[in-house]
Amino acid sequence: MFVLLGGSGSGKTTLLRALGGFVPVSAGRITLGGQDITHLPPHRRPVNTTFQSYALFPHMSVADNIGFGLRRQGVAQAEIDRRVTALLALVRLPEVGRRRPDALSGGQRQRIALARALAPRPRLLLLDEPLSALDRNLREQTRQELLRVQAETGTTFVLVTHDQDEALAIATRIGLLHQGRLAQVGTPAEIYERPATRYVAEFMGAANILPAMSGAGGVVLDGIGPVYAPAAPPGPLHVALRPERLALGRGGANVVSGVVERSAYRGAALEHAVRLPGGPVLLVSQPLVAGLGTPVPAGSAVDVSWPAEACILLMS
Amino acid sequence: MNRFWVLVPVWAWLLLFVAAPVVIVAALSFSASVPGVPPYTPLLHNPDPANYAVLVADFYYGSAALQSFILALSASVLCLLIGYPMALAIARAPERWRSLLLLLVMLPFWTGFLLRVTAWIGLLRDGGWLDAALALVGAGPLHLLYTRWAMAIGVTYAYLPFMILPLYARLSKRDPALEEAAADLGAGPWTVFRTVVWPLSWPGVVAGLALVFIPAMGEYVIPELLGGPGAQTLGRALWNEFFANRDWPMAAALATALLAALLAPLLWSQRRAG
Repeated sequence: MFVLLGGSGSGKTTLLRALGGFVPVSAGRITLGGQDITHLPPHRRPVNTTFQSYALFPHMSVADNIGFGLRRQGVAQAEIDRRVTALLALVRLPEVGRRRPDALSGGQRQRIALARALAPRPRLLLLDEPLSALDRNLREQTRQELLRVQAETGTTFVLVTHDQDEALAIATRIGLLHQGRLAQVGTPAEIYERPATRYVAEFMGAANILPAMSGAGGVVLDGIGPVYAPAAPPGPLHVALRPERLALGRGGANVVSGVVERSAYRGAALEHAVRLPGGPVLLVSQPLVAGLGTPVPAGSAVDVSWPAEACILLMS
Repeated sequence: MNRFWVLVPVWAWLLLFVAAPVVIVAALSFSASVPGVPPYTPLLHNPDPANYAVLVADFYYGSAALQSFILALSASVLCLLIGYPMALAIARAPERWRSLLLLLVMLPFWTGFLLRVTAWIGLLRDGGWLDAALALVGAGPLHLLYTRWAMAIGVTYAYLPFMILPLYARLSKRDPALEEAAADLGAGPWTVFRTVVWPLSWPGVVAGLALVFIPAMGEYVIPELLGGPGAQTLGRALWNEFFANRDWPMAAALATALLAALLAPLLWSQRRAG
């Protein structure tokens, strides 16, 4: 499960369409298992796509939709029937084969689109924002279904999304696209914990990003002073601090004092904005492990602390 | 209540100018022809289906119906064959070109119908433009004018826009993702057309065929100008009854029978669709 992640206009859908053969490639090559498929038309590629709109054929039954690719391969009708039944079972919709797509709900259509794309047994399955049209509860459920189907079929999935939480939850590896280029490729943990650039750090979640200078005395944050941090080559840099790695109190290696500017209850956590004397505002997310959380009154003086390894060093 | 008043003019129009004339013509078809003004016995005075008996018995009307049917069918099929690629090309053209291309399709309507049909005489006649063009490549002459082919060409030409417009309306709403999905699943360009584009455009095809076939069945001007004396279509038969024979009831019977024959399949397909 490879996830192409990026904001709108980052080129993720264009890249997916290039893999599917729908947009011509002006430079570079696309290879699949060592075979160059750059100039193959879509119908000759062992690659199938689930489209964002699902693109189910409205004039065919669900079973004929799923069997479409098999029919193009010249598979015998009895075998098509057998495999369509198996695929309907795989996506857990065994009863809908004779219905028309417009008689299905959004979540069901999504699963039929998945079954249809899997039917010809592609080497690579492309999924264009497969969950974006579903409501929140259904999205989580369908995400688990995707992972299960991926594991059961052993097909490589390339999934496009703009939602970093979705990417973190589902990906084996993430490729983060920025302005048409891969900003970073890595496992979800690598991307989240060791973002290569400031853009990646910002995209992967609300982060405190502070300008800093690295020198003989270690890392010095602008307006805060020297901090315990991993070793960095000398020169200007940025330090990212994830709100959930910061804590109120004096528990970590680095401690700074500030004044609470606002504090809000966010369900799973309390979120505080703490203004430091030097000017910068730190966002601190305090998980609510047990009991109700009470926001801290604005104007309270608090300490904020974090361990040295919570400092994420960004050279660019 | 508002809805009611909005619909009043519509119903009044339909009643006065569609329903009433049809009822009058139908009533007329059951009266008899007499010399004088008006040239028929009083309406509904003594209704007599004799005119319909003549329609069935006299082979002349059956043969006219057959000629019209062949003409309308061949013109409809020709219109579909020519119109479908044109409609598809317009639907696939860049957005800013489409209205211009549609305008060009409708451009012929801006000159008189008679004039345009008459122009075909010059094109098709022996030694006309078509023969001259064919002679350049060493073919022909075809002797097309005053044949069935000339009529079919004329009707096809005249009604082509009525085929293109409903087809375009349907094809312009197509979802390109469906065609991509079909290609993605292994369908080559022709298979994409056969399995996705064509079946989804079917309502447009039916509408286009109906819009060409129905007026072509009663077409008078084109057979008169481009068909030979043997081209006795329903339109000409109707004209002859009205103006040559002054047998209004017979003409009314013919018109009513044609209307019924054209309406029946439409009602049937409506019921099946609904």
